[in-house]
Amino acid sequence: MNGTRTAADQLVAEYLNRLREVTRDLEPALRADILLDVEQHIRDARGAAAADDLDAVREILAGLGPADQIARATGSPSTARSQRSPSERAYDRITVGLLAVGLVTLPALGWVVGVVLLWRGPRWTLRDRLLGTLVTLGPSAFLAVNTVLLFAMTKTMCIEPVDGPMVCDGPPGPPAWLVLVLYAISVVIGVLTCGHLAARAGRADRAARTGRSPSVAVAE
Amino acid sequence: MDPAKALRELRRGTVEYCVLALLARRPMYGFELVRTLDDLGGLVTSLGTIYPLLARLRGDGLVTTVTRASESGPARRYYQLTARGRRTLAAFIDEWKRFRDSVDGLLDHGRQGT
Repeated sequence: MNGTRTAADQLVAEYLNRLREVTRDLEPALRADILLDVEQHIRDARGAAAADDLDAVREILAGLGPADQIARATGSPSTARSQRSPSERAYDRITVGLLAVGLVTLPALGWVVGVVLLWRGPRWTLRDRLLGTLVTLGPSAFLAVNTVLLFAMTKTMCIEPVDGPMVCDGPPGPPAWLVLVLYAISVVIGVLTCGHLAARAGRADRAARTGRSPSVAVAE
Repeated sequence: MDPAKALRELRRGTVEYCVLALLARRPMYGFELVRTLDDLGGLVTSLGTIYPLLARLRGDGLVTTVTRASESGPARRYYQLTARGRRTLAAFIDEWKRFRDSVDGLLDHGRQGT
């Protein structure tokens, strides 16, 4: 009997902990009201049940409905915000952060991980993913192409006579200032793209919030 | 056209007035109110969602709470209707009866035509 009672208490504690977690962004007085009422409901329902055991508690909690549904019924945007777990929020930030770092560094492992997260993440469209992949690669690709071109031109246009110093002839490479300006433009476009991806994640959250039904769960 | 959706929206829009109507009878504590609502109407699938509704009604000044001693266990918080809640309920009942009669009349008319 003791074991059954402990398991029932544990189940109640887990339910209330979940409710505390999903209502953590609510206005404190409202949150306290809801927690107090639900706690009292469980206590009263257990008192009214034929047997205070694990099955009875399961039935009571099933009748109350999921803690997340109670939180959603507040209709508060701040509660809706709490529907996203910290890991989900971190996912979006890490994705955009890695892509942003990839703008100014060579496309190393971090950028690759960022692109993988971008394509696996639920908040971006195909256009966003293509944009995020190609544009954030832009600055590094620009530098790489520029370096290769410069090297190729140098190699093909320079002659080293037997009796004299090496002479480079032919069309000069683009001036350094132009390379820098184009590189800066590609970085700015990349930063704007990262901003767009972050904004898209935020808009997807807001759309999800307004799409929810912030009200009592009524019968079908 | 989805009749189930229409009825769902109707329930959603009226459940708070059903809560006010129950509290118009007498003050009730949460479990008592929720159980009565469940027994009488079967309106609500997740009973816990009534508590945010009660909090909202309280915030709107339509209900208030008082704590009373309980014969078994800790003191309980009772919900009771405020004067504003009574006025709101009375206004809704008038409107509801007009709405119900209109809809009944139209539906009966439609049934006779089929």
